[in-house]
Amino acid sequence: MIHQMNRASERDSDALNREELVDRLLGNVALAQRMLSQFLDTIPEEIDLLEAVIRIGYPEEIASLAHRHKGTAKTLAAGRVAEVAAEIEIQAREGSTSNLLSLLDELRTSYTHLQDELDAWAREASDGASK
Amino acid sequence: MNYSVGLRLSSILVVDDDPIAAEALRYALTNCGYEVTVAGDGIEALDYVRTGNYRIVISDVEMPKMNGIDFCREVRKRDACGYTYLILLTGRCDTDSVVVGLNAGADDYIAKPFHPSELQMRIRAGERLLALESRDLMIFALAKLADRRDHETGGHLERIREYSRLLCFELAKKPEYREEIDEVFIQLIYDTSPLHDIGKVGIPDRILLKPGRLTEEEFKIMAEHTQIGGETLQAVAEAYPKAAFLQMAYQITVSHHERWDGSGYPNGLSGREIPLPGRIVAMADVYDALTSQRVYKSAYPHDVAVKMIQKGSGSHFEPGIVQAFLALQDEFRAVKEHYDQQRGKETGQFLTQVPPIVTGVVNSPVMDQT
Repeated sequence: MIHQMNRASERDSDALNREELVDRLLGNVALAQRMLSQFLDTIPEEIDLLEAVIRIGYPEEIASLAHRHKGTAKTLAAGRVAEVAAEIEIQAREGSTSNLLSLLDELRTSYTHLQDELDAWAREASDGASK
Repeated sequence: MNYSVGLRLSSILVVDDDPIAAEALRYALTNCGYEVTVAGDGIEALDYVRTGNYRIVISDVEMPKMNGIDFCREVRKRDACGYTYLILLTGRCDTDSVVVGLNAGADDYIAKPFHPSELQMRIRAGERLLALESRDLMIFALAKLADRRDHETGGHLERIREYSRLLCFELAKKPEYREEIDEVFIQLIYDTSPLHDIGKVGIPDRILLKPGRLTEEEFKIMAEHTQIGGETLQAVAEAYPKAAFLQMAYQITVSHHERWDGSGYPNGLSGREIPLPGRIVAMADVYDALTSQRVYKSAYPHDVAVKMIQKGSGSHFEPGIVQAFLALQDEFRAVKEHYDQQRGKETGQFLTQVPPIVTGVVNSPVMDQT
């Protein structure tokens, strides 16, 4: 029990709020992990696309893509990804493009943390199943 | 009584270009017992809506090809086959965005990310609204079925409920009626006044369709339509005492031929013994009977009908309701003309001369044979 609590306290709940996600999916942990995995599989391509439109300087398209990232991240309780995507969307809509590439780096980092959280969760599930 | 029982809407259309969000929705809704279909954009969703299989739609706002706002507008253009309950699901819930969505025809908003229990409650609200629509349509369909036997030209029920509603709006301005006539009362009278003659299903054709004045014996049989309708609705109203519309339908059906001075039927009630909905529908029904062609009479001109009703104040009709009618006579005429135009003036021509009946309004067969 103590071991589990320590594990829980080590979680980066800003990157992923497991409880919130599982609650949203009515307690279905396997579905939550599968959906996260499915989401993260699409990320490299999505990030490349976002980088391309930032470099071209097409604010409407940037805002639209960032909005989609934000929505999906919120659905998956991935708070930090949602925050950074929201900031990209706001700045793009305001026409302020100078800081977008650095925000894109933050977004990449957020996705890395999210992937780490998913991996840790999968390991815990695997450990739990093998005990 | 729970009117949503038996009206469980099993098919919900989800419109979202984000497969993750769509899957989360599908999972939550499927767990609540709904069948879910997913469309990736507004164009695809419209094709599904056109099938008529989806009465509840949950849509994202930002989507390619056609966004959620334009999708709402398109759906509203095509609502003729029944109402579609539209819920917008979006991360943008600032006042401006909500107003734009509602203005485009959305019924509700849910903020992303949704919680399943909130989603379910919102859908239930939609189901309740759709159930009410179905109930109102059924009431009107039943009334139409009964009405068709003696008013084949139609429009009678539509006019009755418009006249009744107009009278309510006018009466509600007066202190003596204001307490009883509120918005719920007005909606109920609009919905249930078409049932006033439902008891005519029990009257033989030889009497109902007789082209001329009824004999005393025939009139007695004709007068039974108030009791036949009243007894039918009373039985249902007693079984479901919380259903206000059944109570009002019963009152109207059984009392719309009572007269203010007690000379009406079936119970010879007088004054305020007669339920208010019955007193109001009596006025609406008589005006419509006077100005419409029937098997036993031609249509009287509007001005003649007004005079006849005016003469019936205090005898046939409650004086306060006659005053309201007089204040509204132009609106009554407009309603009549509107429906005549809609139906190609199939209700017949107004008489060009004032009939002698005007002088004997209290015993007018027109008043009784409605």
